[in-house]
Amino acid sequence: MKITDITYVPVVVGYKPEYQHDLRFYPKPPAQSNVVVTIHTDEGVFGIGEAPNTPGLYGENENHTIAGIEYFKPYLIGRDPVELTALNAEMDRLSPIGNHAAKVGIDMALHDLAGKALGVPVYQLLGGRVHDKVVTHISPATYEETSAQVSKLMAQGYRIFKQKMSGNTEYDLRLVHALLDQVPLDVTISLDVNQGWSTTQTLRILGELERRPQFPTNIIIEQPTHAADFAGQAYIRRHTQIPLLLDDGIRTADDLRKIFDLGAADIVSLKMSRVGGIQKCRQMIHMAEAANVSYIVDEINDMRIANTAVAHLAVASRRPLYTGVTCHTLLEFDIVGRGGVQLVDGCAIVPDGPGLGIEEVRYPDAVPAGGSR
Amino acid sequence: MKIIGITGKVVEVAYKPEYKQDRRFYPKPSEQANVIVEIATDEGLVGWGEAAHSPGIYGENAAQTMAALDYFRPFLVGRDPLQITALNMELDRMSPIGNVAAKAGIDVALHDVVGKALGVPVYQLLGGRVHERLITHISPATYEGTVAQIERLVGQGYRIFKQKGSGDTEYDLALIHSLLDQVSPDVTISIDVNQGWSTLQALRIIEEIERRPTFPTNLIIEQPTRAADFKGQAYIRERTQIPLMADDAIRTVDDLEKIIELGAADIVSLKISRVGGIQKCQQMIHMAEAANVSYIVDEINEMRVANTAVAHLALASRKPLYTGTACWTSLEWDVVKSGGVQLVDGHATLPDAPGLGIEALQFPAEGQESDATR
Repeated sequence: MKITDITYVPVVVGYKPEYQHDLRFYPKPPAQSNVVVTIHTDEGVFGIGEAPNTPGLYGENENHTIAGIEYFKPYLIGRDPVELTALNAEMDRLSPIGNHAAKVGIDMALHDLAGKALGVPVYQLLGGRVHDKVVTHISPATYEETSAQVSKLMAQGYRIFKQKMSGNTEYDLRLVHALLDQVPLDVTISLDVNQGWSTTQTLRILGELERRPQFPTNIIIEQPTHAADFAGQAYIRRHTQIPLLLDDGIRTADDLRKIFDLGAADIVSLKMSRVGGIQKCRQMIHMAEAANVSYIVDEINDMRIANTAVAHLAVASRRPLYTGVTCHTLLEFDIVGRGGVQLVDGCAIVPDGPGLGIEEVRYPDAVPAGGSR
Repeated sequence: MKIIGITGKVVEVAYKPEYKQDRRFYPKPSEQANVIVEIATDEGLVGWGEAAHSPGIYGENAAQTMAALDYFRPFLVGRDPLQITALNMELDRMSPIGNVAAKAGIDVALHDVVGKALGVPVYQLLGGRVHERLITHISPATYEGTVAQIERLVGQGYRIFKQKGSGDTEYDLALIHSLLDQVSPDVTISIDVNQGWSTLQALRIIEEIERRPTFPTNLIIEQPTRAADFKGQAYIRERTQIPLMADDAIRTVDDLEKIIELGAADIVSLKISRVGGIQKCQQMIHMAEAANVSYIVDEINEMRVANTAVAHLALASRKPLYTGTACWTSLEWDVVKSGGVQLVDGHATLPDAPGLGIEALQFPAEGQESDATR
């Protein structure tokens, strides 16, 4: 089997209205697009992937990604798509750093294609299924209605919330107190600051939370400070018993090694969409397991194609603390018409169909200029 | 698909006569046996694996592996073999440490049966083929005929030799000098001491070799001192430009982490048979790649079933320096009757057949059945 072409369509990631007035610190450009990648072969089988972009964190947008795909394309056409590692090595040779999202979209589409060609789900390419389902977090908006939204989601079965922080001490403390007052202890809240606090601000906020009448055993503090300040995060970790989750600073295996060397995290968030694909994310899972550090198999601005790939990796992983595959439910438009990851009672379930198990991809009516199918 | 049986067959690892008089430091019990593992399924497919033993290094022998198969069997029968990771977790839950050979044999057999079930070679379960073929080392015996044996092997195309050291300074120095005098600089010699030297002895020997008229750029020093003395090895590594390879002590990811942390090796030897299977070995490869430490995908006292599994992993790995899949050629008896890893011009190549690509096994006559099963 040979790759004959790689095509792509940028699709606007349209968050629902409540996320438009979100107070999160995390910088979200008004219009944000992911790129749906299709790899075509001479045998008619094709693979679908998604390159999610998070320009407000990493600077990459859909135009960078499309240029990255065009750069890689001539080196991939004519190659056998089932050679997943060799093709990843080829992309790394061409671009030792950078082009993360393009690598993600291509690696994901290769896995979908290889699964379809072999007649097995993607998780079977990753060592087979370990979990029938994995509990997933979900992110309520950070606005005046957060509490009500959390109540609705709890009623749907969700038990882990990734709650974005604003970066403002008073606002964030008030929000966290309100949430802790509201939810039972078996509901976990991860306070995702996206680097919005300083180190001293973090210690001040954690100190106040730790002095609540009941110690908050159900919160996690996520990426409180500047992504690359692992030493500062190790310092924070030594000064609190609230688990510290690191996230934004993990783009390469070297980042992860530094975190482990410094003992900077209780939990690491491993995101295929941020680290360059399924293979690289799985390598990091292997590293975290070797280092005995907890991990979550996570999403970032993913539509349901990428969310589905995340779910495959999560159900094939030994001990993910939880996963994150709900971002697609926060969007106005679901790119997957049929198949893909399903959410039942706050858990992710992947289909047993070949590849990613996505039966139909549909695009919003207006395909942006420059898009091709 | 369900696992309906797991059986083991003990097969003696009989080295050819020249290896009997071998002066290697490495302690080899006179009789050593591996266990061929077979996993049978309700759909008629069977998977083969090999549990390789090095009792002289790790204490584990065939009888213990047979006991371990009995111990693990009830927890695996009835399970779906496609769930390779989940079944490895079950083995680890039952035996967080220990039973390394049995785990390796079962894990290899699982990969074989899954490959057969899906109609793909094992390397495809590991991310697909990266290399068409890979250069392999081979181990000549360490005896008066070593130089002649190497000449023959060079004639066959081999370019990397894992030459066992004796532990005796004078003997080893004489051997190394004669080998370096004999081979061309494009032939690599890894002096595998198997922990036979002290730190001071290692430094003394390395110094003398470094003062040769031509610096020996084609030499590797492998596991010179006691396995667990990573600090000592980091010390040796700082004092020489000859690459240092760590080997015997790497049984768990924690061992590998320590070596990486201490900067104790230029190269690590990663062996399916020593670390508990393909999955664990691939995890270590991922760790070595992340740490930018060179690695070889290697063998240890293996017959051709395990050697074939090693070749699958090696060919699916990004940048192994080389592999080691030639041990079976040092044996009197080849347990693989057809299929399996082939050695061509000093390289390992694999058939594109499903699973390990081993078509038939054969066992030494004496009262043993000639087919692998039951």
